[in-house]
Amino acid sequence: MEEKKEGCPFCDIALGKVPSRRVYEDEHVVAVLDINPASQGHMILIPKKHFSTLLELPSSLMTYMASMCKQLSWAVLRTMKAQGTTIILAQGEAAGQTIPHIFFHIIPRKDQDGLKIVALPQQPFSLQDLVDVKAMIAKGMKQEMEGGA
Amino acid sequence: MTCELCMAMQGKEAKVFEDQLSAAVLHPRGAAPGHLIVMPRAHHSIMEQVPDEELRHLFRVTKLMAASLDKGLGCKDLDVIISNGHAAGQEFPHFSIQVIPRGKGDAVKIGWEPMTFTKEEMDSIEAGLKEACGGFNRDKPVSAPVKESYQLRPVVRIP
Repeated sequence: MEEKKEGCPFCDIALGKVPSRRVYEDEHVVAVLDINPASQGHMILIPKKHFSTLLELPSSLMTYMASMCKQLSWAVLRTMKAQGTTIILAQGEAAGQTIPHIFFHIIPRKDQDGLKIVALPQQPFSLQDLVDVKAMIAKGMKQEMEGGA
Repeated sequence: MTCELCMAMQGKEAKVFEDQLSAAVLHPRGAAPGHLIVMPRAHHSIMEQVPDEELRHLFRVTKLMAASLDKGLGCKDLDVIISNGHAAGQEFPHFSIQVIPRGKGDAVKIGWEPMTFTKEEMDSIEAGLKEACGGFNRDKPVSAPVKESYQLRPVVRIP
């Protein structure tokens, strides 16, 4: 974890070094309007400190972001007269994360808005596939809970 | 009405994690091996109905799932997605957080064409949201008045 990372655009936004449309700020997080919005009122919720993955993000901040996501979602439903929200956190290159500073998108949605933000293929896994992958995840979870590498 | 996620919590095969407040199951028609659904035990339709304590716990479990995918499957890249409400394409009538492992060139598509708004439009959105967000109180989170939610009816229509 670093307090701030030189050259990270989200650290710059958090510190107010670059202009942004801030809609909410406290000592832990800042919410600004996305400059490439999927819809009107699309916000991003950024932790002020620099964390590049969920693994680095402390649990206390993750839970704080939970409350903030809910409150920002509610604010956007009321203000933008939206009927739903799409909330996304992308981690890693394959997920399209281009800036290694973790953050949440909060995207207001309306019925029949025509946006296809999330398109997930459906894979027909067999019971055996599920059992196999479950065993691997369980092993990883055990390691994580025991604090192993 | 039978909720597929409430049912999934009863089963054992796909369940990866459970505790008093939450459970995580493998998506039966997942987008990738290891696609997980993190959900509250209690049946809530949308995020605004999930009590803060439960939601915080679900985010904590989501972080644990990300670490477990990393250590168990060697998968570091992932998406965390909440489709909140019928308008957002919510798949189950039960609030959930999807954790989707990602690989280069996979078939998952997440993105949008950026919209452009005039400066005046952006000014007005900013002012409106600032006002709505300004009333936040960390110690006393605002809860959505559930009965007024116009999202509910569309959500329960999902079979």
